[in-house]
Amino acid sequence: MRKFAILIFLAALAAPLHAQRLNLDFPSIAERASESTDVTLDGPMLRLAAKFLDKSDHDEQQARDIIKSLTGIYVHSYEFEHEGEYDRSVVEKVRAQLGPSWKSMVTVRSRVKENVDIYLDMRGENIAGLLVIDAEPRELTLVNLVGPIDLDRLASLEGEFGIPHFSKGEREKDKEKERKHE
Amino acid sequence: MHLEDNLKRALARQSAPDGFAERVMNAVNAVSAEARPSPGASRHPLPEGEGRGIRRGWRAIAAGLVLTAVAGGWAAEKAIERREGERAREEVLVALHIASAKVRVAQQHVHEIGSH
Repeated sequence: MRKFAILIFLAALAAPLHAQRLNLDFPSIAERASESTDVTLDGPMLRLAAKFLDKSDHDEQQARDIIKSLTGIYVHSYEFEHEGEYDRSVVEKVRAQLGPSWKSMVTVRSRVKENVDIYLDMRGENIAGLLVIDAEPRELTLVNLVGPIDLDRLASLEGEFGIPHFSKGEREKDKEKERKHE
Repeated sequence: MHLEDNLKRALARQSAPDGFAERVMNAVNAVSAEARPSPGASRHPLPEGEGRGIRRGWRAIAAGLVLTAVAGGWAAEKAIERREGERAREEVLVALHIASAKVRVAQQHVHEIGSH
């Protein structure tokens, strides 16, 4: 009985340390999207990916450093042909999954730019998870990183890896640069 | 009726003659002893050196086949792991790129608010 009580106590201690994975899978939205990006990488796949990231490449080394402490990366990004083509209640369904440890860090509301919500899973002083919701009329992006995250380091990655900028404004800047080069 | 009597007589159970079982067992033992090769001798006897060479040849072929199978399996497993690793690497880069873009947008907004 005493051993059982100790076991329960230890489990209760460990529970808050275990970062939360959210369910971001909404097949009905993916079906309607004209373009979609789905990334689901759990711990073992992240370890495998880390082996293949180029240590001599500065950007990939940074990515390596970021993912080494993560236990999951889940990204679902959809683009639609027309405005209002996806069910906005999906955003509420994602928010409803957030437990009391999740804190809203930033909420951006804009008529012309992105509408971004960033939530952090705070365990004391430490960040144990990140949720990004970017809900626009023709775009929906949901990102869930599970594990300790250095936000400044993550933000400094944009535009790296030879991948075009993701945000519309930055994509326009990329196009501008290309035109100048031509 | 006559046919029935004949059949009954022909199929009637009869005891084996005395010593029948012993004679059968002796015959079986004699055949087995003939068929069993003596130790060290093959059914198709070859000169000693030649037989040993053939056996070695077969062993070498068998070892080669086993090695090829093991090496092939290992190489295939490595190729699969490499393919999965490269795919995971690309997915990590795409995912971090998207995540960082969104976080950066939020940070820019915060900086803009702070600078006003």
